[in-house]
Amino acid sequence: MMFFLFSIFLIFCSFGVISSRNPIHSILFLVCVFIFSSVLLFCLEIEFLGLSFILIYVGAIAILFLFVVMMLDLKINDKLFNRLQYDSATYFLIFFLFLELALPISSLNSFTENLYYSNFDWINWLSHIETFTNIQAVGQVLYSYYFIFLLLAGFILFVSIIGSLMLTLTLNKGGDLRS
Amino acid sequence: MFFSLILVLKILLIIVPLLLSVAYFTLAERKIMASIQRRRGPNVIGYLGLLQPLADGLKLFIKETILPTSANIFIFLLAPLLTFFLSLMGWVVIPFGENLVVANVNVGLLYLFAISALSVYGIILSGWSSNSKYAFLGSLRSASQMVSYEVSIGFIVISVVLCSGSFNLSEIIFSQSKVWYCLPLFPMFLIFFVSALAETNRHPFDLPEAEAELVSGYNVEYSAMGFALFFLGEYANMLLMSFLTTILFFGGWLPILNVVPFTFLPGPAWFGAKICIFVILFCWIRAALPRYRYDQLMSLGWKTFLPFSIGWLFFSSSILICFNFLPF
Repeated sequence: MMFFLFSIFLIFCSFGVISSRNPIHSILFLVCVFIFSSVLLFCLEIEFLGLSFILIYVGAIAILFLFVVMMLDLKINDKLFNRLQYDSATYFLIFFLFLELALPISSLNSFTENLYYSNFDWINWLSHIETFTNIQAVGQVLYSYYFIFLLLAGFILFVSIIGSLMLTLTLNKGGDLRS
Repeated sequence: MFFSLILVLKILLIIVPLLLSVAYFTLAERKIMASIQRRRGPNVIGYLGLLQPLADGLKLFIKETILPTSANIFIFLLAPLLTFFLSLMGWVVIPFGENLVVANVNVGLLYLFAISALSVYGIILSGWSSNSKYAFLGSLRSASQMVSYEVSIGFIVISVVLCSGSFNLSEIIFSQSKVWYCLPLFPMFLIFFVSALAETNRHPFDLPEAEAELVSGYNVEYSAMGFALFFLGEYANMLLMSFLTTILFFGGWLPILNVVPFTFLPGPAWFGAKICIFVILFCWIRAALPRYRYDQLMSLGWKTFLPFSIGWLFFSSSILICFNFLPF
Protein backbone atom coordinates (compact mmCIF):
# COMPACT_ATOMS: atom_id res chain seq x y z
CA MET A 1 0.00 0.00 0.00
CA MET A 2 2.72 2.43 1.06
CA PHE A 3 4.77 1.30 -1.89
CA PHE A 4 2.10 2.31 -4.39
CA LEU A 5 1.45 5.61 -2.63
CA PHE A 6 5.10 6.58 -2.81
CA SER A 7 5.40 5.40 -6.40
CA ILE A 8 2.54 7.72 -7.31
CA PHE A 9 4.35 10.59 -5.58
CA LEU A 10 7.49 9.63 -7.47
CA ILE A 11 5.73 9.74 -10.82
CA PHE A 12 4.26 13.16 -10.02
CA CYS A 13 7.66 14.50 -9.03
CA SER A 14 9.26 13.19 -12.18
CA PHE A 15 6.58 14.99 -14.17
CA GLY A 16 7.54 18.07 -12.19
CA VAL A 17 11.17 17.70 -13.25
CA ILE A 18 10.37 18.04 -16.92
CA SER A 19 7.40 20.36 -16.78
CA SER A 20 8.53 23.12 -14.39
CA ARG A 21 9.74 26.33 -15.99
CA ASN A 22 12.37 27.23 -13.44
CA PRO A 23 15.51 25.03 -13.63
CA ILE A 24 16.00 25.27 -9.87
CA HIS A 25 12.51 23.92 -9.35
CA SER A 26 13.18 21.03 -11.67
CA ILE A 27 16.32 20.15 -9.72
CA LEU A 28 14.33 20.25 -6.50
CA PHE A 29 11.81 17.90 -8.09
CA LEU A 30 14.73 15.69 -9.08
CA VAL A 31 15.83 15.62 -5.44
CA CYS A 32 12.29 14.61 -4.48
CA VAL A 33 12.44 11.82 -7.06
CA PHE A 34 15.65 10.52 -5.52
CA ILE A 35 14.23 10.70 -2.02
CA PHE A 36 11.01 8.93 -2.96
CA SER A 37 12.90 6.22 -4.79
CA SER A 38 15.00 5.61 -1.69
CA VAL A 39 11.76 5.49 0.31
CA LEU A 40 10.62 2.78 -2.10
CA LEU A 41 13.80 0.89 -1.27
CA PHE A 42 12.94 1.32 2.42
CA CYS A 43 9.54 -0.21 1.73
CA LEU A 44 11.30 -3.21 0.24
CA GLU A 45 13.46 -3.39 3.41
CA ILE A 46 16.68 -2.59 1.57
CA GLU A 47 17.56 0.22 3.92
CA PHE A 48 21.30 0.12 3.27
CA LEU A 49 20.91 0.77 -0.43
CA GLY A 50 18.24 3.39 0.26
CA LEU A 51 20.47 5.35 2.60
CA SER A 52 23.44 5.16 0.30
CA PHE A 53 21.16 6.33 -2.49
CA ILE A 54 20.29 9.42 -0.46
CA LEU A 55 23.94 9.94 0.46
CA ILE A 56 25.33 9.71 -3.05
CA TYR A 57 22.59 11.03 -5.29
CA VAL A 58 21.00 13.64 -3.07
CA GLY A 59 23.99 14.57 -0.93
CA ALA A 60 26.57 14.82 -3.67
CA ILE A 61 25.32 14.70 -7.24
CA ALA A 62 22.16 16.79 -6.95
CA ILE A 63 24.04 19.36 -4.86
CA LEU A 64 26.56 19.73 -7.67
CA PHE A 65 23.74 20.14 -10.19
CA LEU A 66 22.16 22.76 -7.96
CA PHE A 67 25.47 24.60 -7.67
CA VAL A 68 26.05 24.70 -11.39
CA VAL A 69 22.52 25.76 -12.23
CA MET A 70 22.56 28.48 -9.59
CA MET A 71 25.79 29.89 -10.98
CA LEU A 72 24.53 29.96 -14.56
CA ASP A 73 22.60 32.97 -15.66
CA LEU A 74 19.59 31.21 -17.06
CA LYS A 75 16.83 33.07 -18.81
CA ILE A 76 13.48 31.50 -18.24
CA ASN A 77 11.93 31.05 -21.65
CA ASP A 78 8.21 30.93 -21.15
CA LYS A 79 6.75 31.70 -24.53
CA LEU A 80 3.71 29.70 -25.45
CA PHE A 81 5.08 28.73 -28.83
CA ASN A 82 8.23 27.18 -27.34
CA ARG A 83 6.23 25.34 -24.76
CA LEU A 84 4.00 23.86 -27.40
CA GLN A 85 6.94 22.99 -29.59
CA TYR A 86 8.99 21.15 -27.03
CA ASP A 87 6.49 19.93 -24.51
CA SER A 88 4.16 18.31 -26.99
CA ALA A 89 7.04 16.21 -28.27
CA THR A 90 8.01 15.33 -24.70
CA TYR A 91 4.54 14.27 -23.68
CA PHE A 92 4.14 12.32 -26.88
CA LEU A 93 7.28 10.33 -26.06
CA ILE A 94 6.22 9.90 -22.47
CA PHE A 95 2.85 8.58 -23.56
CA PHE A 96 4.45 5.90 -25.70
CA LEU A 97 6.94 4.93 -23.02
CA PHE A 98 4.12 4.67 -20.54
CA LEU A 99 2.15 2.52 -22.95
CA GLU A 100 5.14 0.29 -23.42
CA LEU A 101 5.38 -0.19 -19.66
CA ALA A 102 1.67 -0.44 -19.03
CA LEU A 103 0.85 -3.13 -21.58
CA PRO A 104 3.01 -5.89 -20.12
CA ILE A 105 1.95 -4.97 -16.61
CA SER A 106 -1.72 -5.16 -17.49
CA SER A 107 -1.20 -8.57 -19.05
CA LEU A 108 0.57 -9.70 -15.88
CA ASN A 109 -2.38 -8.60 -13.79
CA SER A 110 -3.37 -12.04 -12.58
CA PHE A 111 0.17 -12.75 -11.46
CA THR A 112 0.49 -9.57 -9.40
CA GLU A 113 -2.92 -10.24 -7.90
CA ASN A 114 -1.67 -13.58 -6.77
CA LEU A 115 1.44 -11.99 -5.38
CA TYR A 116 -0.15 -9.23 -3.38
CA TYR A 117 -3.58 -10.40 -2.36
CA SER A 118 -3.14 -14.03 -1.53
CA ASN A 119 -3.28 -14.70 2.19
CA PHE A 120 -0.38 -16.95 2.89
CA ASP A 121 -0.23 -17.47 6.59
CA TRP A 122 3.23 -18.71 7.14
CA ILE A 123 6.23 -17.81 9.22
CA ASN A 124 9.61 -17.47 7.65
CA TRP A 125 11.48 -19.67 10.10
CA LEU A 126 14.76 -19.13 8.34
CA SER A 127 14.73 -15.42 9.18
CA HIS A 128 14.10 -16.28 12.82
CA ILE A 129 16.99 -18.68 13.00
CA GLU A 130 19.58 -16.72 11.09
CA THR A 131 19.21 -13.02 10.36
CA PHE A 132 21.36 -11.29 7.86
CA THR A 133 21.75 -7.56 7.83
CA ASN A 134 21.63 -5.84 4.45
CA ILE A 135 25.28 -4.99 4.55
CA GLN A 136 26.35 -8.57 5.21
CA ALA A 137 24.17 -9.85 2.40
CA VAL A 138 25.47 -7.30 -0.08
CA GLY A 139 29.05 -7.93 0.97
CA GLN A 140 28.80 -11.70 0.70
CA VAL A 141 27.51 -11.52 -2.83
CA LEU A 142 29.58 -8.57 -3.98
CA TYR A 143 32.97 -9.88 -2.93
CA SER A 144 32.44 -13.46 -4.03
CA TYR A 145 30.23 -13.88 -7.09
CA TYR A 146 30.47 -10.42 -8.57
CA PHE A 147 34.00 -9.43 -7.68
CA ILE A 148 34.91 -8.89 -11.32
CA PHE A 149 32.20 -6.22 -11.63
CA LEU A 150 33.47 -4.58 -8.45
CA LEU A 151 36.95 -4.44 -9.94
CA LEU A 152 35.61 -3.06 -13.19
CA ALA A 153 33.66 -0.37 -11.36
CA GLY A 154 36.79 0.51 -9.45
CA PHE A 155 38.74 0.84 -12.68
CA ILE A 156 36.07 3.04 -14.24
CA LEU A 157 36.11 5.33 -11.21
CA PHE A 158 39.90 5.42 -11.32
CA VAL A 159 39.87 6.43 -14.98
CA SER A 160 37.36 9.17 -14.23
CA ILE A 161 39.53 10.45 -11.38
CA ILE A 162 42.56 10.59 -13.69
CA GLY A 163 40.47 12.31 -16.35
CA SER A 164 39.19 14.99 -14.04
CA LEU A 165 42.71 15.54 -12.71
CA MET A 166 44.03 15.99 -16.25
CA LEU A 167 41.23 18.45 -17.02
CA THR A 168 41.96 20.66 -14.03
CA LEU A 169 45.73 20.33 -14.00
CA THR A 170 47.54 23.41 -15.20
CA LEU A 171 51.31 23.30 -14.98
CA ASN A 172 52.19 25.97 -12.50
CA LYS A 173 54.88 28.22 -13.97
CA GLY A 174 55.85 30.25 -10.96
CA GLY A 175 52.31 31.37 -10.39
CA ASP A 176 50.47 32.02 -7.17
CA LEU A 177 52.59 30.57 -4.41
CA ARG A 178 49.99 31.03 -1.70
CA SER A 179 47.65 28.43 -3.09
CA MET B 1 -4.41 4.31 19.65
CA PHE B 2 -2.34 3.48 22.70
CA PHE B 3 0.64 2.72 20.52
CA SER B 4 0.47 6.04 18.70
CA LEU B 5 0.12 7.87 22.01
CA ILE B 6 3.31 6.19 23.21
CA LEU B 7 5.00 7.18 19.97
CA VAL B 8 3.98 10.84 20.35
CA LEU B 9 5.20 10.79 23.95
CA LYS B 10 8.53 9.37 22.85
CA ILE B 11 8.94 12.08 20.22
CA LEU B 12 8.05 14.80 22.73
CA LEU B 13 10.46 13.31 25.26
CA ILE B 14 13.23 13.85 22.75
CA ILE B 15 12.23 17.18 21.25
CA VAL B 16 11.38 19.15 24.40
CA PRO B 17 14.65 18.46 26.26
CA LEU B 18 16.51 19.02 22.99
CA LEU B 19 15.00 22.48 22.52
CA LEU B 20 15.65 23.32 26.17
CA SER B 21 19.26 22.23 25.90
CA VAL B 22 19.65 24.25 22.70
CA ALA B 23 18.31 27.31 24.53
CA TYR B 24 20.73 26.83 27.38
CA PHE B 25 23.54 26.04 24.96
CA THR B 26 23.21 29.60 23.65
CA LEU B 27 23.26 30.96 27.21
CA ALA B 28 26.28 28.80 28.08
CA GLU B 29 28.06 30.05 24.99
CA ARG B 30 27.48 33.67 25.91
CA LYS B 31 28.49 33.11 29.53
CA ILE B 32 31.65 31.18 28.66
CA MET B 33 32.71 33.69 26.03
CA ALA B 34 32.04 36.50 28.48
CA SER B 35 34.16 34.94 31.17
CA ILE B 36 36.98 34.32 28.70
CA GLN B 37 36.83 38.00 27.74
CA ARG B 38 36.50 39.03 31.43
CA ARG B 39 32.93 40.30 31.14
CA ARG B 40 29.80 39.30 33.02
CA GLY B 41 27.62 38.20 30.13
CA PRO B 42 23.84 38.18 30.39
CA ASN B 43 22.96 38.62 34.07
CA VAL B 44 19.82 40.75 34.22
CA ILE B 45 16.87 38.55 33.27
CA GLY B 46 16.25 35.92 35.91
CA TYR B 47 18.72 34.69 38.48
CA LEU B 48 22.24 34.94 36.90
CA GLY B 49 20.58 35.59 33.54
CA LEU B 50 19.06 32.11 33.46
CA LEU B 51 15.86 33.28 31.75
CA GLN B 52 17.73 35.13 29.00
CA PRO B 53 17.25 32.44 26.26
CA LEU B 54 13.51 32.33 26.95
CA ALA B 55 13.31 36.11 26.61
CA ASP B 56 15.25 35.94 23.36
CA GLY B 57 12.94 33.26 22.05
CA LEU B 58 9.88 35.32 22.97
CA LYS B 59 11.36 38.34 21.22
CA LEU B 60 11.95 36.36 18.02
CA PHE B 61 8.47 34.88 18.27
CA ILE B 62 6.61 38.18 18.42
CA LYS B 63 8.70 39.96 15.80
CA GLU B 64 7.25 40.67 12.39
CA THR B 65 8.00 38.14 9.65
CA ILE B 66 9.34 40.00 6.65
CA LEU B 67 9.03 38.41 3.23
CA PRO B 68 11.23 40.13 0.63
CA THR B 69 9.24 41.07 -2.47
CA SER B 70 11.75 39.60 -4.88
CA ALA B 71 12.08 36.35 -3.01
CA ASN B 72 10.75 33.02 -4.14
CA ILE B 73 8.23 32.81 -1.32
CA PHE B 74 7.55 29.08 -1.23
CA ILE B 75 11.21 28.05 -1.14
CA PHE B 76 11.99 30.99 1.14
CA LEU B 77 9.57 29.62 3.71
CA LEU B 78 10.50 26.00 3.08
CA ALA B 79 14.23 26.40 3.75
CA PRO B 80 14.19 27.18 7.52
CA LEU B 81 11.58 24.49 8.11
CA LEU B 82 13.76 21.99 6.27
CA THR B 83 16.83 22.92 8.30
CA PHE B 84 14.96 22.67 11.58
CA PHE B 85 13.25 19.34 10.84
CA LEU B 86 16.42 17.76 9.54
CA SER B 87 18.27 18.82 12.68
CA LEU B 88 15.55 17.13 14.74
CA MET B 89 15.40 13.98 12.60
CA GLY B 90 18.88 12.82 13.48
CA TRP B 91 18.05 12.39 17.16
CA VAL B 92 15.89 9.34 16.55
CA VAL B 93 18.84 6.98 16.38
CA ILE B 94 20.95 8.46 19.19
CA PRO B 95 21.23 6.06 22.15
CA PHE B 96 21.20 8.07 25.38
CA GLY B 97 21.93 5.06 27.53
CA GLU B 98 21.76 1.31 27.37
CA ASN B 99 18.47 0.56 25.54
CA LEU B 100 17.49 4.23 25.83
CA VAL B 101 16.89 4.82 22.14
CA VAL B 102 13.82 5.49 20.03
CA ALA B 103 14.86 3.51 16.98
CA ASN B 104 17.70 1.05 17.33
CA VAL B 105 18.35 0.64 13.61
CA ASN B 106 21.15 -1.37 12.08
CA VAL B 107 22.40 1.42 9.87
CA GLY B 108 22.12 4.25 12.39
CA LEU B 109 25.42 5.85 11.53
CA LEU B 110 24.61 5.84 7.83
CA TYR B 111 21.22 7.37 8.64
CA LEU B 112 22.85 10.20 10.58
CA PHE B 113 25.23 10.74 7.71
CA ALA B 114 22.41 10.89 5.16
CA ILE B 115 20.51 13.39 7.32
CA SER B 116 23.53 15.65 7.60
CA ALA B 117 23.98 15.40 3.82
CA LEU B 118 20.40 16.53 3.36
CA SER B 119 20.76 19.48 5.71
CA VAL B 120 22.91 21.26 3.12
CA TYR B 121 19.71 21.83 1.14
CA GLY B 122 18.14 24.10 3.73
CA ILE B 123 21.12 26.42 3.58
CA ILE B 124 21.58 26.47 -0.18
CA LEU B 125 17.86 26.96 -0.79
CA SER B 126 17.61 29.81 1.69
CA GLY B 127 20.53 31.55 0.01
CA TRP B 128 19.10 31.18 -3.46
CA SER B 129 15.47 31.96 -2.69
CA SER B 130 16.08 35.19 -0.79
CA ASN B 131 17.41 36.68 -4.04
CA SER B 132 20.17 38.73 -2.47
CA LYS B 133 23.88 38.74 -3.25
CA TYR B 134 25.05 38.40 0.34
CA ALA B 135 22.78 35.52 1.16
CA PHE B 136 23.66 33.77 -2.09
CA LEU B 137 27.42 34.05 -1.58
CA GLY B 138 27.08 32.96 2.04
CA SER B 139 25.05 29.92 1.11
CA LEU B 140 27.47 28.91 -1.64
CA ARG B 141 30.38 29.13 0.76
CA SER B 142 28.58 27.27 3.46
CA ALA B 143 27.34 24.50 1.20
CA SER B 144 30.69 23.86 -0.45
CA GLN B 145 32.35 23.83 2.95
CA MET B 146 29.87 21.30 4.32
CA VAL B 147 30.10 19.08 1.26
CA SER B 148 33.89 19.00 1.27
CA TYR B 149 34.26 18.26 4.96
CA GLU B 150 31.60 15.57 4.80
CA VAL B 151 33.95 13.50 2.66
CA SER B 152 36.69 13.32 5.27
CA ILE B 153 34.12 12.71 8.01
CA GLY B 154 32.90 9.77 5.95
CA PHE B 155 36.34 8.19 5.84
CA ILE B 156 36.82 8.69 9.59
CA VAL B 157 33.45 7.10 10.28
CA ILE B 158 34.40 4.15 8.09
CA SER B 159 37.60 3.57 10.05
CA VAL B 160 35.60 3.57 13.30
CA VAL B 161 33.07 1.18 11.77
CA LEU B 162 35.91 -1.15 10.75
CA CYS B 163 37.08 -1.28 14.34
CA SER B 164 33.63 -1.85 15.82
CA GLY B 165 32.12 -3.98 13.07
CA SER B 166 28.69 -2.37 13.03
CA PHE B 167 26.81 0.69 11.85
CA ASN B 168 24.57 0.45 14.88
CA LEU B 169 25.38 3.23 17.32
CA SER B 170 24.69 1.16 20.45
CA GLU B 171 26.98 -1.59 19.22
CA ILE B 172 29.70 0.92 18.46
CA ILE B 173 29.49 2.04 22.09
CA PHE B 174 29.45 -1.55 23.37
CA SER B 175 32.55 -2.34 21.35
CA GLN B 176 34.40 0.41 23.24
CA SER B 177 33.96 -1.24 26.63
CA LYS B 178 37.63 -2.32 26.62
CA VAL B 179 39.14 0.91 25.35
CA TRP B 180 37.63 4.10 23.97
CA TYR B 181 38.46 4.73 20.34
CA CYS B 182 40.00 8.10 21.14
CA LEU B 183 43.16 6.27 22.24
CA PRO B 184 43.91 3.98 19.28
CA LEU B 185 42.38 6.37 16.75
CA PHE B 186 43.56 9.60 18.33
CA PRO B 187 44.47 11.47 15.09
CA MET B 188 41.10 10.50 13.68
CA PHE B 189 39.41 12.00 16.72
CA LEU B 190 41.22 15.31 16.22
CA ILE B 191 40.36 15.43 12.53
CA PHE B 192 36.78 14.45 13.25
CA PHE B 193 36.35 17.23 15.76
CA VAL B 194 37.84 19.85 13.46
CA SER B 195 35.69 18.57 10.60
CA ALA B 196 32.67 18.75 12.87
CA LEU B 197 33.48 22.40 13.51
CA ALA B 198 33.61 22.99 9.78
CA GLU B 199 30.49 20.92 9.14
CA THR B 200 28.44 22.98 11.58
CA ASN B 201 29.87 26.26 10.21
CA ARG B 202 31.40 27.16 13.54
CA HIS B 203 34.49 29.14 14.44
CA PRO B 204 37.22 29.12 13.20
CA PHE B 205 35.48 28.03 9.99
CA ASP B 206 32.45 30.33 10.12
CA LEU B 207 33.22 31.84 6.74
CA PRO B 208 29.54 31.81 5.74
CA GLU B 209 28.78 34.49 8.29
CA ALA B 210 31.99 36.47 8.13
CA GLU B 211 30.44 39.70 9.32
CA ALA B 212 32.95 41.92 7.61
CA GLU B 213 32.32 40.52 4.14
CA LEU B 214 28.87 38.97 4.05
CA VAL B 215 26.48 40.56 6.49
CA SER B 216 25.50 37.36 8.18
CA GLY B 217 25.62 34.73 5.47
CA TYR B 218 22.70 32.75 4.16
CA ASN B 219 20.17 33.99 6.71
CA VAL B 220 20.46 37.75 6.08
CA GLU B 221 16.97 38.14 4.73
CA TYR B 222 15.28 36.15 7.46
CA SER B 223 13.62 37.76 10.41
CA ALA B 224 11.59 36.50 13.37
CA MET B 225 10.72 32.78 13.29
CA GLY B 226 12.59 32.00 10.09
CA PHE B 227 15.79 33.18 11.70
CA ALA B 228 14.90 31.40 14.95
CA LEU B 229 14.44 28.11 13.11
CA PHE B 230 17.84 28.46 11.43
CA PHE B 231 19.39 29.32 14.76
CA LEU B 232 17.81 26.36 16.55
CA GLY B 233 18.78 24.05 13.72
CA GLU B 234 22.37 25.21 13.79
CA TYR B 235 22.75 24.72 17.54
CA ALA B 236 20.93 21.38 17.48
CA ASN B 237 23.38 20.28 14.78
CA MET B 238 26.26 21.31 17.00
CA LEU B 239 24.85 19.26 19.86
CA LEU B 240 24.34 16.34 17.49
CA MET B 241 27.94 16.58 16.36
CA SER B 242 29.18 16.53 19.95
CA PHE B 243 26.96 13.50 20.61
CA LEU B 244 28.44 11.83 17.55
CA THR B 245 32.00 12.57 18.66
CA THR B 246 31.23 11.13 22.07
CA ILE B 247 29.63 8.02 20.60
CA LEU B 248 32.37 7.36 18.09
CA PHE B 249 35.42 8.16 20.18
CA PHE B 250 34.53 8.55 23.86
CA GLY B 251 32.44 5.49 24.54
CA GLY B 252 29.03 7.11 24.85
CA TRP B 253 27.49 6.21 28.20
CA LEU B 254 30.41 4.04 29.37
CA PRO B 255 32.27 5.21 32.49
CA ILE B 256 36.00 5.91 32.38
CA LEU B 257 36.89 2.70 34.17
CA ASN B 258 34.46 -0.08 34.85
CA VAL B 259 35.25 -0.22 38.59
CA VAL B 260 33.26 0.72 41.67
CA PRO B 261 33.50 4.46 42.26
CA PHE B 262 32.93 5.25 38.59
CA THR B 263 30.00 2.91 38.09
CA PHE B 264 27.86 4.67 40.72
CA LEU B 265 27.01 7.39 38.23
CA PRO B 266 24.34 6.14 35.77
CA GLY B 267 25.16 5.90 32.07
CA PRO B 268 23.21 8.92 30.78
CA ALA B 269 24.95 11.10 33.38
CA TRP B 270 28.33 10.04 32.03
CA PHE B 271 27.04 10.77 28.54
CA GLY B 272 25.90 14.24 29.62
CA ALA B 273 29.23 15.03 31.26
CA LYS B 274 31.11 14.11 28.09
CA ILE B 275 28.74 16.21 25.98
CA CYS B 276 29.33 19.19 28.30
CA ILE B 277 33.06 18.97 27.65
CA PHE B 278 32.48 19.22 23.91
CA VAL B 279 29.99 22.05 24.28
CA ILE B 280 32.51 24.01 26.33
CA LEU B 281 35.16 23.22 23.71
CA PHE B 282 32.91 24.59 20.97
CA CYS B 283 32.50 27.87 22.88
CA TRP B 284 36.16 28.06 23.87
CA ILE B 285 37.31 27.65 20.28
CA ARG B 286 34.91 30.39 19.23
CA ALA B 287 36.38 32.78 21.78
CA ALA B 288 40.01 31.87 21.25
CA LEU B 289 40.73 31.33 17.57
CA PRO B 290 40.78 33.71 14.59
CA ARG B 291 38.92 32.92 11.40
CA TYR B 292 40.46 30.98 8.50
CA ARG B 293 40.71 32.40 5.00
CA TYR B 294 38.46 30.60 2.55
CA ASP B 295 41.16 29.07 0.34
CA GLN B 296 43.02 27.93 3.47
CA LEU B 297 39.85 26.26 4.65
CA MET B 298 39.39 24.44 1.37
CA SER B 299 43.01 23.35 1.12
CA LEU B 300 42.87 22.11 4.72
CA GLY B 301 39.85 20.00 3.91
CA TRP B 302 40.85 18.59 0.55
CA LYS B 303 44.64 18.51 0.69
CA THR B 304 45.30 17.67 4.33
CA PHE B 305 42.37 15.99 6.00
CA LEU B 306 41.15 13.88 3.09
CA PRO B 307 44.50 12.25 2.20
CA PHE B 308 45.33 11.74 5.85
CA SER B 309 42.01 10.10 6.66
CA ILE B 310 42.24 7.83 3.61
CA GLY B 311 45.77 6.89 4.61
CA TRP B 312 44.69 6.19 8.17
CA LEU B 313 41.81 4.07 6.88
CA PHE B 314 44.27 1.89 4.96
CA PHE B 315 46.63 1.78 7.92
CA SER B 316 44.02 0.79 10.46
CA SER B 317 42.43 -1.81 8.19
CA SER B 318 45.80 -3.39 7.47
CA ILE B 319 46.59 -3.46 11.21
CA LEU B 320 43.23 -5.10 11.85
CA ILE B 321 43.86 -7.73 9.18
CA CYS B 322 47.48 -8.37 10.20
CA PHE B 323 46.72 -9.06 13.85
CA ASN B 324 43.39 -10.72 13.09
CA PHE B 325 41.55 -8.07 15.12
CA LEU B 326 38.62 -7.78 12.73
CA PRO B 327 35.43 -7.92 14.79
CA PHE B 328 33.76 -10.62 12.68
